[in-house]
Amino acid sequence: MSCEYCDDAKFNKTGSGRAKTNARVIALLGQPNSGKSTLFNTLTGGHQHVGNWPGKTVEKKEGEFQHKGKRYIAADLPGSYSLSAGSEEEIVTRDYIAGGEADVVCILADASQLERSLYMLADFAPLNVPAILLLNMMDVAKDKGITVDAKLLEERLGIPALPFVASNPKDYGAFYAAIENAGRMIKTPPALPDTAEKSDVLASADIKFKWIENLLDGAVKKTQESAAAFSRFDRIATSRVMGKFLAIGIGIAGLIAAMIPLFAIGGAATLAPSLLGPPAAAFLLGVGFSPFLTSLIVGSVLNTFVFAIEMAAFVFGITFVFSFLEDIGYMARASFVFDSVMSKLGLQGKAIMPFFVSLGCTIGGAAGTRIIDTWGQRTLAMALMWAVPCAAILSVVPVLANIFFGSGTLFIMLGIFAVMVVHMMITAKVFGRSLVPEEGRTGMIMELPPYHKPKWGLLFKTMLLRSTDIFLRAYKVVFIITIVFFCLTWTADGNVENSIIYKVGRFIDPVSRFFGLGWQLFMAFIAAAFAKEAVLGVLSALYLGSGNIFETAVSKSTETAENFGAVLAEAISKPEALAFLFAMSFTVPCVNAMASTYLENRSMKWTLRIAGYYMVTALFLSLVVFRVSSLFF
Amino acid sequence: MLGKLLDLLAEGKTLSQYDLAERLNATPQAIAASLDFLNHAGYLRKVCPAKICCGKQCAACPFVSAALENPPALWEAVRMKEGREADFHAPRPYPPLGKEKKW
Repeated sequence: MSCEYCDDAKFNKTGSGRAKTNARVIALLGQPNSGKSTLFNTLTGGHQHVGNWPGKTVEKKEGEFQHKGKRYIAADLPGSYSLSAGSEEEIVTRDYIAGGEADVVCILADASQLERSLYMLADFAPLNVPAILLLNMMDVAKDKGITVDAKLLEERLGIPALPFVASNPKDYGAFYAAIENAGRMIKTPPALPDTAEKSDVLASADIKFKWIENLLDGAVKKTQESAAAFSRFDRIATSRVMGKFLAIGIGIAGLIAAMIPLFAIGGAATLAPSLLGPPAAAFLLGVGFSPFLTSLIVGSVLNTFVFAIEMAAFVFGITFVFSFLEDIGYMARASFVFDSVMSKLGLQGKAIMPFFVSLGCTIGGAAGTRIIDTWGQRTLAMALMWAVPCAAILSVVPVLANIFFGSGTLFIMLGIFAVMVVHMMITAKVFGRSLVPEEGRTGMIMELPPYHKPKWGLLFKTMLLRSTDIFLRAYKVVFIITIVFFCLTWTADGNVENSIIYKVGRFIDPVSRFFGLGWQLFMAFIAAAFAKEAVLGVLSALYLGSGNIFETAVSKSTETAENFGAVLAEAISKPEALAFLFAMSFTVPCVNAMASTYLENRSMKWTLRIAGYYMVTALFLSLVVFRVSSLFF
Repeated sequence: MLGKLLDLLAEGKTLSQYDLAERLNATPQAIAASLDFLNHAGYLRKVCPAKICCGKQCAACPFVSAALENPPALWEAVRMKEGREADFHAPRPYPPLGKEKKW
């Protein structure tokens, strides 16, 4: 491609071109994202030439600019980490500089993280080429509370060191003055060892890092040091023992906080059926709807509304807690302190991340196991992950537990987490031997984010979005399931005992009773394996639909299920309810999670094996919880 | 320091940049710079955060964990100090969907 402004020859033969045009050549050198391209574009504007370096696939960018009547050619060298000639970009860059093509090399470094970005300078220093150090992104450094003593750096290096903001052309005065007069080289480059020892890349790099450390010593200061109390907190937060207790404590406090909206908003929503039910039923009957259809519409719409509101209220609270902890930088610390648990379960440390993801959604957690290297470890991680209560469980269980146990809901939730830990340990023993043979384990580094203030606007936006999503999804799923099961209870003669669902239910009842679940609860348990929200729909249809809602909507309208909760509390004993809550929490997470597990491990045999195992253990858990709790309730 | 950092990793523990800074008597910023170098030199690799959640499979599910949004950066060893590869990082090839093999 030809350039209107310049002739190709000038740019392709830099040396001769320079002689011909008498232009001064400025090479821009820096690591990726150091601001090189911003500076290059600002200097050259539209006067650029883009091509390839001879014989390479690396892009070559040159351009021309003038300042105070003098012409300059700027070469934007490929962005690379260093000049160690490890990649094509590095070879091109090193050859260009070492070949003396440039009159002066401008090295851009990110002033907000000089320890990281000065490695290029340390690599460049031994080349003995005139240079300028541009301490770019000084504005970012200032925002982070970092001050850089450019004068001291200049003194130590022997070359100009300029505070700089590449995105602000008004700040270019010192830069133009420096390139006009540049000619000095770095006076004391890193003292690298003899050629024989140069091959030891780690030793050479250590010398360069020491050189950087000496260079920056006293020249870079953080003015906003963390408060001592904050550091003490972090010491506890990342302590292997205390950190776990702290995380558990914060988790419990978070659960309590999350229940406030559930009790407040959810409590208000439960008034809806008794307030709106009778007039709605009367209206529908008045316009000619049949009693069955009336009860179906009124019961389904209003009760589904209550469930959806209650679930959304809990999600509103729990999202606030977890997003807040994530936003301030604590969640990473919580995952850090629980990393050691992973090795006890036979997994790599990095498996902790998908587990945290699965607290939100098992599907996401299963997809997240891609970071794990071996098939066996991935499959085991997914098998264990199914025991982690996902957000659907965390929103349905409180709604149901609140009906039976009121303020004891918190203990139910804690009990579920305690069982989760035991379940995971047993599951690891059951599947670990065949999935994960003894393997080597190397360490991992988790880069913890600094603590920072939460972004309140974003936080509330997230809470609203998630709550709305939950509300819509819950409404949709619960409504559909309610309608389906409601219809299954329908009979021509109005006698619910003749319905299909009742006949099936009575047939399985002796078996399901053994596990502590009445047939209605057993059907809800089966539905939980498809989607947790479906549980509410099934219970709503079976307990309200078996005649009760008909009566409440038509004749006993003031008690219209003063709502669903009252009916359930009367129909189901506390041991049954407790057994059911644990059974539904530890059965197959949902159909989508099963599909996701299959897609990730690509073994139908193992996916079905895990699913079967979870169904069986959930029923066993139900049996144990029912028998034990019967002693107390 | 770089050699010692790799030795610490070979012990099999998970460490934060603050742990490393304390044990190696360096600043967290210097540790971050060392991680960058070791990554570039092929000793470490950064666990791809996009793999923790691809954002596609679970997009249909509104239950999204906070941990999805900003996972902490994880680094793992791929080469030991002596240059040999960390053997457990050789992933086995996956069979195509629907064609299972005995593992």
